[in-house]
Parts: sequence; structure tokens; C-alpha cells
Amino acid sequence: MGFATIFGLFILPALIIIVSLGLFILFKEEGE
Amino acid sequence: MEMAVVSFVLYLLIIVTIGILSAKFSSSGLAEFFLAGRKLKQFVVALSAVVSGRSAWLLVGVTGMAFTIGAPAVWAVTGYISAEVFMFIFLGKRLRRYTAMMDNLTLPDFFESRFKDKSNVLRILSVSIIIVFMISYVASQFEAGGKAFSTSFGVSETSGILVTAVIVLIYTILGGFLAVSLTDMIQAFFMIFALLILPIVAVVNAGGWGEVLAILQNFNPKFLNPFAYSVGGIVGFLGIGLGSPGNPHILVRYMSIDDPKALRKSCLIGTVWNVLMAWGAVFIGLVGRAFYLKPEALPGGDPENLFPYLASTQLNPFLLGIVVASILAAIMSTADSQLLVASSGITRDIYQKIFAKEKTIPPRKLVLISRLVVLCLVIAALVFGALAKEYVFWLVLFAWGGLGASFGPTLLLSLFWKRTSKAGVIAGFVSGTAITIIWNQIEALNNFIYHLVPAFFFSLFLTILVSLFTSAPAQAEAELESIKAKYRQKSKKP
Repeated sequence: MGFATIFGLFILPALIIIVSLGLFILFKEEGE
Repeated sequence: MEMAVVSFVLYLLIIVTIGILSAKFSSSGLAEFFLAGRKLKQFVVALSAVVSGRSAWLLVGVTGMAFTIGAPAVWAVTGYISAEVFMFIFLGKRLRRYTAMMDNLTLPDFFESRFKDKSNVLRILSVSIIIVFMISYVASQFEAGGKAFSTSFGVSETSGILVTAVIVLIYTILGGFLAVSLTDMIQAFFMIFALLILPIVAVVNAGGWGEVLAILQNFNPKFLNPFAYSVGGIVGFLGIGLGSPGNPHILVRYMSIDDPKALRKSCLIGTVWNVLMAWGAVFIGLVGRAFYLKPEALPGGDPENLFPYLASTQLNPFLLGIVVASILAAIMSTADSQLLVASSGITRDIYQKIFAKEKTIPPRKLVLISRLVVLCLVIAALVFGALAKEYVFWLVLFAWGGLGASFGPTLLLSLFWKRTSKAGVIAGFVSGTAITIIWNQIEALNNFIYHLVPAFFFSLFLTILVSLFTSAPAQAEAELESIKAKYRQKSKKP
């Protein structure tokens, strides 16, 4: 299984979840 | 087969019961019928927003696409999931705040308030776009329902279409937005379960992931490479995500949350759900290919039959019933939300705000009219579906793209750019719709890139250009600032 396959099938979905987790933490104190 | 019917009937009973139980609450007024009184919690909004946007396209379209083209199908899901992450956090929150302050129930309501439009031009234009695209969208969902019923239970497609339409009609008419959102939540569980259990069972039955990989590598070494696809194709797939900010049946979900700040929690829940469902669908397509190297092995040689067919060969009858229920769940969770949006366009935007502007109509009567409009829309969608026999996948993408290109750029600019003008928004509406229809008619253009990408950017460009040459509403800046200030004060209160 090449890197492209691992990226597309496993890393990409994990990245999207990490970004949403990052935004979740980043906007914790946002009161506006 | 009996066990499959049992699990399926169980699912139907749950959603119809929710419809009946929500009826009393939803009958009290239009805000309750169309927006659940803006009282929904973050978990319900998260799942409802996600599954309303995921129609039969995900379960039968994406699985079939991954079966046909392989790993590049991941780009078709990456675009919309990424777009929706930002919608939950930024667009959703702002839209919820503004619409609550302006007492807007619908998207046309929002455009009229935002641009102080007394002429009804924005309202009529936006409702027309919603009705045209929503009817074709709902029709495609009913068609998909018929297909799912006939593949799984051996009934005729016409009977399947009618059963799908009647079930959606019952709980949507009775329970309105509350029932639609609560059933969406139940449907989200059915969908995620089916999309995860099938690839796991199928991989185990195939002899493990290593075995599946070996078969696919042998079949076509490029099948598992997501980059082995044309650049135009990948951009077009990612561009599907441009549709999310313009589809009113997703946007109203954000408007219905009780606390706009809770949308960040909804974002996390919704994204995890979105990702698991999408990659489940992609894996079903890939694993399915290892089972059926030739598409002719599928019923009718149609890759869109892969999901129910693979389930019927790999799962026990009870789980098969859940898979069939999940397809119907995807279809119903989308169609119900779209019916309500289209009904609100006619009842709230056309009848209440234009024809009966001077009259005071009792809230219960307005709800009754809304229910009758839902019934008429179901009939219209059934007639349209019988006339337009196209592939479910493309009919969905046509409506998704048309709404995305017309409302996406105009809504984003209206919420984030104070300089946006009414004329600019009209230009955006017209160009977004026109490019979608024209692009779709020309095969060479359609093969080059998915129509939403050029239509979205052309609409965005025209809205900006026309806005720069015309004047924005005088009080726009002050009004938007005052709404922000009010919320700051509110959030400071203990």
C-alpha cells in the first residue's frame, strides 16, 4: 500500500477531524 | 427476508411515532412548524445538518463512484466536509444571530431584511430558485427510494416511490421541523451504522484487508491511488463542497439552534459523523470492487446498486434490513427538509409576506396552509420524477449545484461584506442559476468540470462587481454592528 493510498484513505479523513477539533478549541472563549 | 422486513418496519414505526408526537408543538405557529421555535440542541442540529445534506447520493452515488473510479472518489467527499466545518463555525453562527434578531424564518426573509427590499424582487427570485431546484431534488430522492425498495424487497419501482413519498409526507406534515430534525437524528444513526458495518463485514468475509488490497492491486494498480485522476476531475469533485453554503435545507438547520455559540460543539460532532459516513461509503465501493471486478456482476450492471446488493450478499437478514432502512433514511432525511424549505417559501414568503401582507392570519391557519403546501409539493415532485428519468446522481448534483451557485456566494457576501448591494445579490442569483442550467446543457463543458465550480465563481464575481457599482443599504453597517453589540451584551450577562 503506497503513501498516496494511505493518505487518501486514512490521513485525509483524520486531518479533517483534527482541523475541526482545532477550531473547536480555538473558538472556546469566543463570546461575540 | 422476514427479519429484514422486521428491522425495516421497526425503523418506519420509530420515525412515524416521532411525527405524531411532534404534531402538537409544531401546530402552534410558523416559527414552530418551520424552525422548531429556534429551540434545538447542539447534538440534534449537528446530526440534522449533516444528514439533511447527505442524500441517496452518498449511499448509492458515492459507493457506486468509488466502485467505478476507485480511491479518487475521496475528493468528492473531502470538499463538502471541509466546507461544512467552516459553515458550522463561521457562517452558521452569524446566520443564526442575524436571522433571530430580524425574526427571519426563511432565507428569502433574510435577504429581504438584509437589503431592506420593499419591492419583493429578492423574495420572489429566491423563492423561485428554491422551488425549481427543490422539486427536482425531492423527485430524485423519491426515485432513489423506489430503486432501493425494488432492489431490496422485489417490489416495483413505482410502488417503492409511492411508499417513500407517503412515509415522508406523514411525519413531515404532522411534526414539521421538530419531527424532521428528530427523525434526522435517528436516521443519522441508521446511516452511520450501515456505512460502517458493511465494509467491515465485507473485508472480513473477503479474507482481510491484505486480501482486498492484493485483489485490487492486481485488478488495476492505479485503482487505490487518489491522485490517479485528471486535475479538472479532482477540482470538480472538491467543488461539490461549494454547494453546502447555498443549500437552504442545510442552512435552516443552523438557524434552529437554541444557542449560536453551541455550533462549535455541533461542528465537532457533525464533522466526525460526516467523515465516518463518507469514508465508509468510499470503502464500500473499494471493497465491493474486490468482490465484483466486472460491473456486469451487479443487478442491471449498475454501480448504484452496489450498496444494497453487497449488503444482501454479505450481511444477515436483520442487518440487511438496517442497510435498506439506512438508504431510506438518507433519502427521507433530505427530502423532508427540502419539502419544509419549499413549503416555507410558498406559505411564509409568497402567501404571508406578499399576498396577505395587510391581513392578520391566525398562526394555526398558517400551519394548516403549510401542511397543504407540503402535500402539493409531494405530488409535484412525484409528477416531475415520472417525467424526468435521469440518473439519481446527476439530478441531485444539478439541484445541489444550482442552489449552491445561486445562494452560496450571495449569502456569504451578505453576511461577511457590508458593501454587498441588492443589485449585486440579484446579479448573483440570476447568474448562478443561468450558468448552472447552460453549463449542464453543453456536454463538452459538463465533461470538463462540474457546473457548480464555474457557476459559483461567476456568481461571486458578478455579485462583487455589481455591488461595487451600486449602493449598499444605508443602515447596513450600523445594523450589523448593532446586532453584534446586542449579542456581546447578552453573552456578558450571567
